[in-house]
Amino acid sequence: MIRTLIGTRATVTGGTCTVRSGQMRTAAPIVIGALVLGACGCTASNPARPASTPPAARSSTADGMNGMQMSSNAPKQQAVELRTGLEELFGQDVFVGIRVTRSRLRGDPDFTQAAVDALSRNSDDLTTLLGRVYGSARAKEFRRLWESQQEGLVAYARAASQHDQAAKAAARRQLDAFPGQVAQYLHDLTAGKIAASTISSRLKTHVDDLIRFTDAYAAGDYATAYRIERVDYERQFALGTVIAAGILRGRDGNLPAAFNSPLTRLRSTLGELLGEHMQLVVDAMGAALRGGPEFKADAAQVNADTEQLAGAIGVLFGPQSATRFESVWGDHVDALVSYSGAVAAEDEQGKAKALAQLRAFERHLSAFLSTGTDGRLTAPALSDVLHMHDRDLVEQIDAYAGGDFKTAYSVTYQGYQHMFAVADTLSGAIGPTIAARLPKGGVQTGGGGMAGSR
Amino acid sequence: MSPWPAAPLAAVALAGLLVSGCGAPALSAAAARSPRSGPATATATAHEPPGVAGFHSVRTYDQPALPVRLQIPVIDVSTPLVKLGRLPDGSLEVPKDWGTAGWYDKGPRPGQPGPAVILGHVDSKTGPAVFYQLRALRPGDTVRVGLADGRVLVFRVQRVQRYPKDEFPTEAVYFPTLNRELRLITCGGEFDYAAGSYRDNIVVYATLAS
Repeated sequence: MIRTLIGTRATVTGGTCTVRSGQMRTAAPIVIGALVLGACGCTASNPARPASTPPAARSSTADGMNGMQMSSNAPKQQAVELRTGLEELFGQDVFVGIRVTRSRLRGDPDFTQAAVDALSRNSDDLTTLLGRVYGSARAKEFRRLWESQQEGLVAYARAASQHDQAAKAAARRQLDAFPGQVAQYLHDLTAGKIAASTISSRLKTHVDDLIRFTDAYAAGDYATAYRIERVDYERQFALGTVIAAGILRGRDGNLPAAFNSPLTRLRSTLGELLGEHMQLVVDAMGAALRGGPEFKADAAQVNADTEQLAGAIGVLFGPQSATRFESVWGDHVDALVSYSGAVAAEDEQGKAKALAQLRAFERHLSAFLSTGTDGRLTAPALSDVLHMHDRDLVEQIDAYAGGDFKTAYSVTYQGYQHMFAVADTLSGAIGPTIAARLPKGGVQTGGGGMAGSR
Repeated sequence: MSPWPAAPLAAVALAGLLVSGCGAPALSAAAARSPRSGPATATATAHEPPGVAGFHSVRTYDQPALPVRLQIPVIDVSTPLVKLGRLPDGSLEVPKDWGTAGWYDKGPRPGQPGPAVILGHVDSKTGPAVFYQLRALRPGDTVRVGLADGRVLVFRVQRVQRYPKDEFPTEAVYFPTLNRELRLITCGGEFDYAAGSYRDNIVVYATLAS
């Protein structure tokens, strides 16, 4: 089953895209037509990296790296892509939204159009994704409702920065209306398959998280603020799962089997952790560059994410591998922070040293994962993928330091997307590796002495 | 052509809200060139920022202690746990003692991310065994796993499933997950006297509560 699932992904090899689609038999025909047959996001210069394309519209996997065969089961793949796409985008909304809020509170120069553009781009992508299922006209209403949240949060941050209690209360009232409106919209959009109460409850918690983040950050309690940010990311990521399930649930109440298969869950979890890594490291590098007081708190959350990634490696490959991974991954994080410090100190030698450390990390981790997946991932190809990730992080901080915030945010945006492509690739190779190692069949745990009395 | 549409009017309006209401002057081109010119970066110098030099990424991966005891109060189970491996045919080894449960030591430990697996016999050749009442568990029931370091992990039953052995859902039961989960497995269903074994397996799915 796993092999079949993996085989549904698009092939991205040497800058060419090939997508094979099967019969379309879902109740959401627009999804089938547009998501798979839509633009394949690879570029000739970036063979394993998706271009700027909404998640479920791009093919994110470098299948050429692991040599898996294709098969035609597009509807199953649609379910997976919609789930991972919504997870990715709702998770991303937390980070890009908080950057706008945080920039407003700090009064940084980067709070100009670049931060807002990233937030707007995320809203565009969410709207586009929903539009592919339900049509652009109905999706536009989502954008309008979603932006009311953003406007409310910006207003709240402005009020907090000015210690204006009345304005905070007004912003809060605006925010309190948002969860119910979005919940009702999604309920109606899905003909009742999404329970309004479920979405409303989740979004109220989300709003509370963002308010608490803003208050904590404004008070200089960065440890609390960054803990809230990470928890909210996890919650909103899960909101994507819930909404995708509501959209995809059939009249019989069942979901496509692929939606929640072990491989899909693995891909989803790796994407969540790797995407979070990207966002948290970007913020830590920015804090390191600025000498910002929040560096320690941000770095603590980077570490928490690293611990979870190591835990994932532990359950997949065993404790010794987890220890090795954490060491290699730690070298990666250390080098990135060092690079930011060197940029801040205008230390060219320090920058070169950090870049050399990143190259070593790429070699070490790619060799580690190639071995761990029994060669399903080839080390050179994987090293290229990891290099793209490092390049994203270096480029964004260079751009930030140079005042080119538009580039910094754009690279960060695509770098986050790239992590989901990496997760897709990794899960596609790890899945069959692990499946081959699982125990076989049931267990013989009975002597039969009580058989007649049961 | 860029796949991205131009910034919509709403985004421009949002940006306007940000800029117009911030109480700070619009940024000059010179200010925008250097983030270190902003108010929050006044302490930045030509030296490495504080905290960066002393930062080291976490490298403290550790496992929970070995599981040594299983307790399921609602069905009066309290048993030591033995280590189990795999048989030559790839299936799981089972406890040699009818009255003792075992833990599959090639999988996750209880409390670690992933599905830790504990096996026990439903009966011996003459009477009930350690997991005789396992099928009576219900969602919400408590399962306790004692560790070698004295800690006790509490799991909550999520569901109880019965599967024919020849259709055993290997991936659902054993495939790694990053949640801290537990699988309790025994036999169930009819006894196949010709084969000398039960036709089904009972699997209890539980997740870590504390």
